[in-house]
Amino acid sequence: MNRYFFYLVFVNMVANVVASVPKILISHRTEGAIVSMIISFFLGLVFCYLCTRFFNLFPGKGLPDLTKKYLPRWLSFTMIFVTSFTWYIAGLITLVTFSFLLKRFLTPDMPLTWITATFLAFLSYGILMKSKSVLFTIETVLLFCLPFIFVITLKAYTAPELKLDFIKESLMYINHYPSFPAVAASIYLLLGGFNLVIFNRLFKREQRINWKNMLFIGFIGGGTFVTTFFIPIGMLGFDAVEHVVYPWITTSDTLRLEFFIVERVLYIFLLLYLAISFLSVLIHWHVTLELLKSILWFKKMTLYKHNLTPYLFIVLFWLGGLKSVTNLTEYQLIQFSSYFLNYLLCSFAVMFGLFWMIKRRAKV
Amino acid sequence: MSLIKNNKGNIRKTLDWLSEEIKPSFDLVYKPLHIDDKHAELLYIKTVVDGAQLQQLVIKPFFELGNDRHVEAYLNSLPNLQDIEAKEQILLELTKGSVIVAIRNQLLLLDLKRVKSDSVLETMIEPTIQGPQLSLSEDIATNINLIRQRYHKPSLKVETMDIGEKTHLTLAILYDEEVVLNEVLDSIKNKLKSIKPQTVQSTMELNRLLNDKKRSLMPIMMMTERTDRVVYNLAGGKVILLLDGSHTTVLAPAVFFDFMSSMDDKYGSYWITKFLKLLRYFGLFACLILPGLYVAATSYNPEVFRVELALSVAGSRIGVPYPSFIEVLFLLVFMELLTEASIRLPKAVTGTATTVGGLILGQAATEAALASNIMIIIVGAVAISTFVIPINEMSFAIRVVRFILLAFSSFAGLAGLLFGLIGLLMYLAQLDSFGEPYFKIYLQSKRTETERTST
Amino acid sequence: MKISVHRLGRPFTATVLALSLMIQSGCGFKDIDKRIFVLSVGIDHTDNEEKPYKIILKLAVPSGSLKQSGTEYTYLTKESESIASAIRLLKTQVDKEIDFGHAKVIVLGKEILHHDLTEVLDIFVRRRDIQRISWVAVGKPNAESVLKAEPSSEMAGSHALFNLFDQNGVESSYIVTTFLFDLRRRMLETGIDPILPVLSASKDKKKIIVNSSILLAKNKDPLKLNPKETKIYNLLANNVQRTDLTVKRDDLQYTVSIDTAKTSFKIITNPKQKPVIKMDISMEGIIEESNQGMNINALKTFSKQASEEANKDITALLSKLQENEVDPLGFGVRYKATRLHSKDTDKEWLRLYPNMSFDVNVKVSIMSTGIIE
Repeated sequence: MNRYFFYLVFVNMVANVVASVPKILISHRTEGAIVSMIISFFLGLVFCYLCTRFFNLFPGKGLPDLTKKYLPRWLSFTMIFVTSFTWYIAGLITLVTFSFLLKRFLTPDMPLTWITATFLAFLSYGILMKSKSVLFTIETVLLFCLPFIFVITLKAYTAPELKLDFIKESLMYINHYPSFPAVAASIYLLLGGFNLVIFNRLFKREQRINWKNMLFIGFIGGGTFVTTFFIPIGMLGFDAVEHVVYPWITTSDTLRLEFFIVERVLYIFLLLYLAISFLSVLIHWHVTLELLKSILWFKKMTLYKHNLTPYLFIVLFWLGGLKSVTNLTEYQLIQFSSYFLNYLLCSFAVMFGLFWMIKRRAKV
Repeated sequence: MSLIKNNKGNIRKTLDWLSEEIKPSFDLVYKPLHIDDKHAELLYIKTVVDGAQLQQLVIKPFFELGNDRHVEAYLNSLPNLQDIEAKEQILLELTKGSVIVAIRNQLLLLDLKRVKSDSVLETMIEPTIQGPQLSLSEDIATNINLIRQRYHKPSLKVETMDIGEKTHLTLAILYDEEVVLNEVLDSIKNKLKSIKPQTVQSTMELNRLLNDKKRSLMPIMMMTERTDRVVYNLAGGKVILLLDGSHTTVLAPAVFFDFMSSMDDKYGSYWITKFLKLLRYFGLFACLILPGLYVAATSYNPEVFRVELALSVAGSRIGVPYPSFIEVLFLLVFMELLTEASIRLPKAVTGTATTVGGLILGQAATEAALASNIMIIIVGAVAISTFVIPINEMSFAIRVVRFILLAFSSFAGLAGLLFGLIGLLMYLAQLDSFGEPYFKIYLQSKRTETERTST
Repeated sequence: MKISVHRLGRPFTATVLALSLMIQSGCGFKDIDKRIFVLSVGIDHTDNEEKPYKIILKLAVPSGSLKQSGTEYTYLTKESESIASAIRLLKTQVDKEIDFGHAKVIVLGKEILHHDLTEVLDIFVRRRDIQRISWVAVGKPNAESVLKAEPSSEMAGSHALFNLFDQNGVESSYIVTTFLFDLRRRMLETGIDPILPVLSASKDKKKIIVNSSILLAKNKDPLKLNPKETKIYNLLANNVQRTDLTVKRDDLQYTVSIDTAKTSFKIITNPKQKPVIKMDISMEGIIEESNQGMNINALKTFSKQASEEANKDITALLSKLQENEVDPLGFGVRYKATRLHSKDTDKEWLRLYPNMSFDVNVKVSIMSTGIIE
């Protein structure tokens, strides 16, 4: 597979922290989080594989191109609209969560709206770019971030304060039945491949995902699962982790780099996640914009020969972003994230139905 | 040629028309040669023609050879002979330094240019330790000669065209037919045809003329005076543009990383060049973010760095009247002025300017508590890091970007700085140089990366 | 002339962006010389029922020439009914913004330990600007005297309290370091109890001694550990690699300097037998001091003697912990971590711990007698 495909997958894995995944998992730690994680790990890999195989059948075609060709108009319209809405919400959750984080930790004196507006301003520029440029941006930022992610992870695993007993204690809850919200939350990590709905347009060469690729994704994904769930428990304590609002942010504050320019890992972590959540929203909203553009294009809305439709969508994105940032509380946000992740898992069943239909009609 | 051939009246008319067109100039020479039954007429502009060569190649043989037919055959065999296409072309060539010979009802156009600027210059803009020390000359023929001398391959193509509505300078397009990316070549040719500038004086002007975006920060073509770089890029499949009268060439397409490479990277041993490259990118990074980082760290997030650092910054800022971003801006602007001054000043005075500016101003500014000690260190570090960028145009662009990043971090601290960096990255990523993406990471071999332009 | 919006679009967005940022500036912008940094926070108990808390802040006053004059400190104190309100009131006493970003040491007065600690520490775990990696300690006789002590070895720009706990500075087997996050998890978790180092300031405020510690079991009175016990605790908790061991046999007395030490323990509950905590400690070191010549052939005997000596001390400490029903080593957590969870795991442990027996197995290997025999 093309290397850019892996970036799409990895961004979701790393960005799970700002999508409330650890919080949801940890709140289910006595209610079968581990079994849920194992289930969603395999389920997620299967999803990822199926989705990629499907798109491999149609090199250079995005989902809207396929629905338009093979499905009736009304169905195509509804499906693409719903999909784009899903992607929008996915981006929105990351955006709002990270705005809250910035407000709480990095720029506490700045008004929340301004933080979000800054975020949105740069995002608007980004999502209007060509898909290709989006991929280049993702690659560069991700490659810059990787060393830091690596160092922080290493630091977390080697910290003397990491108490293995707490982690083992959480393992002792393996005899509980899995819970649906925990499965839904953790599967988010492996859903990055679905961004192919748009980005497959760029993958024009014929290629097939093979078992080596899947092994690679599985390996990294498994590592992320373990890290995202167990490190906060090991650092913050099995019972004490319960009341922490942002488990990973607090965990990063328990790490200390004695011999680095910045002593508190928290700040490296925040800046790192600023970049990563930016990428995450960039990907999701770029997909949203492209999906919307494929179904709604107002030919008459032009100004000096320039079509304004994308800008109209951007305005809507801004409104949605600012509205939700000002109206949501942290707890509502986590609640809604959980609902959304539940919905996401269900919606993929529908998505696969769609894939199946297209595949049957295309006869490939 | 057939246009003017075999018609005595026609030749007469053409010669008259030509001298009429050039007339008021004092340096137009019309010279009939006549001996026995041999007869010829010369028409040329004295100041651009090499007189000695004219004497040697045309006049002397005329008197020595037996008859008209011999002279004509001789002249036709000369390598300097040019094709004649139209009257206007003759006129243009005359102004460039050709000589018209009318003999036996035929007009012959001989290129006998005298070029005063064909001495090869030393490398000034991109000095290297290893590698050739001479660059190019200001004469296009010499330059093509220099390049061909270093690139012996039949697939090296040189196409020429005229550019400039008024100046009609010769522009040569060089490329290696085997490796060049054809889309890029076509796009460059089309753009060159479509632009109609009045005058073009330097190859760098082409950079601006060929860019689709009129307001652009980053150079999308690379200027170089080094023949080794030209050859290296030719072999890499790039297109080289040479302009007569300019001792630099431009290469296209150029990507961001080209501007960060020095030719020494080719010559040094592996680890040394890797280290130097690392150093250079560190320099780039440092000069981009240091000013912004200072503002963010002193005014927004002093808790990020160590407590000792915070206290010493706070200590050194005692008495500084302005907020940190004004302090940084003040010193940065003065540093820019210093850089600018040392470029424009005569070489002899440059040293004084830097001493006065750098040492005295910096020292006095801290003494007078206009700036903190740490700020002076930062500005110094930034200045040095800027000079590490090997290609000038990029270093100019980076100087501008620095101010933008400073603005972002003065408005939103560390978050602003990081957003600014990502914004810069996105700006670079959406640029393209003649269809080639301007900024993308090259992980695989260059060929696979460029061929796979679809992804 | 027609100007395409596309052309105008980017400069326009850029301008709007810049302007929008301009308006918001001034909200978060505060220069470093307008802030004053808190280096350590002290909390004491007052006898006043209305205002039970007394807050002491140690602030660093930056000076222009750091090398010559060094950092000067200033102190702020306030009594109030809550810590937050005290801090609010303290803000009115200085001309600068109080910044807690560098507060790395929290000292709790000895008296306040009888108070509910969760309540006292709540503000520190809740506030975003307090580092989770700040060190918590107990101050003797009270927090104020510890904060106000300025040891003569304290150099310019470096805070003595930081160096005490930061393992880059002093390395001592007598110092227990407890980070704020560690204290929090020990307080909330069942099966592990908090331990805090005790800082005692001398009367002339020129010295701070930190060699003992205090155990705070849930719902129990604080239990003090003397320096020797603190040292053994550090050994058992794998906090230190370097420690020392003094052995006395008849006339012979020698000290072993340990440079690698490792402790591991297991909880064995067999239905038929008495539950047992099996503890293995292995140490390696060399003889550092002795009052007689050491025979190099007798190293094995010395090792054995040292092991027995250590065994005695360790068992004594473990029994003391057990008697007082405190568990700083996390036996309870280990118990929970090795048994599949059921409803009564916690209760089972509480029932088991007082009846546990200890099987301590110390293995000291003395590798050398130093550079003389």
